[in-house]
Amino acid sequence: MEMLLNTFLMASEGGLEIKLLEIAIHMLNLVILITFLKMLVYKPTLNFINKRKKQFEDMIDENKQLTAEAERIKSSSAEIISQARQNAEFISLEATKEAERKGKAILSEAKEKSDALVERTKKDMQNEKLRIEQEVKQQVVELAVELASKVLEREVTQVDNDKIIDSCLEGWSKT
Amino acid sequence: MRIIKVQSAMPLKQLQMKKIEEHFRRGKIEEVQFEYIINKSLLGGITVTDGNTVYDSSLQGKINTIKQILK
Repeated sequence: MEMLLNTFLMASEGGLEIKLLEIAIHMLNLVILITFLKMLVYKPTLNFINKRKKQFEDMIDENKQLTAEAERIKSSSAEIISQARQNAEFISLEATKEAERKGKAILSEAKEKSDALVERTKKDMQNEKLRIEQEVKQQVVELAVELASKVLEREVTQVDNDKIIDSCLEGWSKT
Repeated sequence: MRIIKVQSAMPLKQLQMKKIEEHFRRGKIEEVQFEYIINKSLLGGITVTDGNTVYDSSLQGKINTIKQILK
């Protein structure tokens, strides 16, 4: 400032005809202009820029939040899918075990029934065999008796008959 | 009067009849009459029916007994 003043003084003494008043007026104008520019252009522009900057920052933040939310949902979905897979595997395994168990039970029951049927059939066959044996034996007896009767009818003589009767009477006489 | 039936496959001799009558008259108070019947199905021997009692000494009777045992 002191140098500037010295310069003005030297210039006026040297005959440059620099008018301090005009300089001051110009400087004042400049200041006023700068002030108005600041008020009307710079500050609004700056506000606009800041506002836009804030908007962009908000958008970035919102984007980050949405991204984080998406990641969270993704991981949650992955976990749910994993859990669902595990459940499905468990259910499948249990169903397989149940099917095996039922299959074994059915086989066991079928075997029991089959064994019982075989046993019953064996008994029936044995009974039938015994029945047939008995029937054959009876028929043999009947045949033997009939043959004996036929033979006796033909072969027994009066003498034989008398012997039989005398033997009977002797037995009665002893009682 | 009591009637006793005597069946035989062949005609009986007098001695045989006498012995039969003596045996079955023993111990009886009432009068007993004997009826002699020829029954060839007996094959041999005799059967005596005294009321509800049958004394079977016939061959057929013995055959029937054997038949029952063999059953």
